[in-house]
Amino acid sequence: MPLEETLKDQILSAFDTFDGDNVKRRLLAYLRQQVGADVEVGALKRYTVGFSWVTFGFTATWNEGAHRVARNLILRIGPPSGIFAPYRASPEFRTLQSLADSGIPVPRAFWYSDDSEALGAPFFVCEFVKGDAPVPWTADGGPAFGEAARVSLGDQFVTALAALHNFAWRSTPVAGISGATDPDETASSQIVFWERLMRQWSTRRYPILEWALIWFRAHAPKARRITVVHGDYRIGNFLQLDGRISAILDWELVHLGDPMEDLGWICLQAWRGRSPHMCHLLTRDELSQKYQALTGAPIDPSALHYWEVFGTFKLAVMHLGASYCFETRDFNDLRMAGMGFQLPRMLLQLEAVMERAA
Amino acid sequence: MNNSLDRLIGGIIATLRAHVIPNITDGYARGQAIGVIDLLNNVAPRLEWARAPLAEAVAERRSAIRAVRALVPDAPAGEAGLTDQAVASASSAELAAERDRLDGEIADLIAWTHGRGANGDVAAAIALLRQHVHEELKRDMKLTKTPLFAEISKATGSGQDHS
Repeated sequence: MPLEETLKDQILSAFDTFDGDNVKRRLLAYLRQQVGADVEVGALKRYTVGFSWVTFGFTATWNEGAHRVARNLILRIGPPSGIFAPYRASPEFRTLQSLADSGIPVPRAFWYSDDSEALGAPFFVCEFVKGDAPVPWTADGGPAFGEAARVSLGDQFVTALAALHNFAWRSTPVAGISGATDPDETASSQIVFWERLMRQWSTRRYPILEWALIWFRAHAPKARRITVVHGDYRIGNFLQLDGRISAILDWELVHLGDPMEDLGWICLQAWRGRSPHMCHLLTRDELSQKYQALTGAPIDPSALHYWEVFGTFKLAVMHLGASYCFETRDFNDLRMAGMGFQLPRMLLQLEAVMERAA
Repeated sequence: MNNSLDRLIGGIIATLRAHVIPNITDGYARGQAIGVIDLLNNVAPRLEWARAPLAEAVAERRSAIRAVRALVPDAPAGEAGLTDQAVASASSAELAAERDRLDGEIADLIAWTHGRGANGDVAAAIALLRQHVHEELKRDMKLTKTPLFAEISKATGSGQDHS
């Protein structure tokens, strides 16, 4: 059976992203098995953030000996109808577990499953972290932060990234996640990954995307080191509470590769609009200087630019994915269709950033 | 990439039915939301994508391809497309398919020219292709409205409860 039909069957039979009652029932059974005690689960609160994983918040309580344990938790489910389906929870889970005592603010991860038996789709459960997620889109196109908050959050933002890229991953479970560990292959592995998705998601061939692929192959940089790459490190994917970054979120694209990839992604115009500050937080120079000071790793400006171009391509491909997902997988989040209409904007940004390299 | 009109309207109706109308507490507003579904049901069979921009897109691509092929006549030919007569009477769906076919041909020309080294006529062909790609993106952008992502994000921050 073709993948698309298999996914549709799964969608109809196993998991409805909006059926919170069913999710709660299955979650309860799963948690009782994991905890080995009678667990109570409070109301599930669905968060309508993100375009991929479905996120629920809930409180679980149980007895451990004489103690009553109560935890505020987050359930993240990778729905068969999501953009990157079929999903695996293990890369994100392994990463969060490995980074738990690293000083990088991440939620503590408790349980996960890569199969659909327990909840109808892959999932993981982690700690609920308080905070709000600033987004790149502002009502008037102006700054997302006041100046003092921008400087402070910008410092924390780059500090957490530097810590991630300096994290000694080789002796941790992160070593088992996907990616490229050959410095000559970091760019080509990402090109192959995203080109495959582009062709899966769109039978229409967009000349500027094909042009970009030629450019990527001709200019692929060699990585100076191999690190954990978040894959979607930007405004919108961290929580802040009272001016402190309380958690770095959305690790679904985590992989091993060239750390310049994360830096280039931060520099996308899509995350800053007309602001001179990358992700509304740091100028390009501030980002480079702080990062180099914190990591001790020099930044090659041409590599940084390469990954900015690549990130813009990747974001354009994600827009194709959103549109494809809406069209073929009965995923009725209207934001997905809205992203499809924004593709020309993404393609123009890609052209502009590629031109800068010429 | 735009979604098909059928799917767009189906998705809008499904969202109104499943997620909007059940959460509208004001009777008049709920009635109007159902009225939107009624209208969409009736509008849907009468809709197709606007023909004029598609016809223009096809014409611009054909013109660019002709100019490029005049410079590099040994470039591999593309698949046969619609005749001029067929384009004149084509439906929107047929024009969209022709536009996509021509985009594929342009992508092939880009790949071919980049494999030849940027000298003389090949360099001129690359410049023409670049200019065409830029102008087409600008043309598409004129139809693209500023997204309401800020407003959507602000509205969706609180989540939904499932007791």
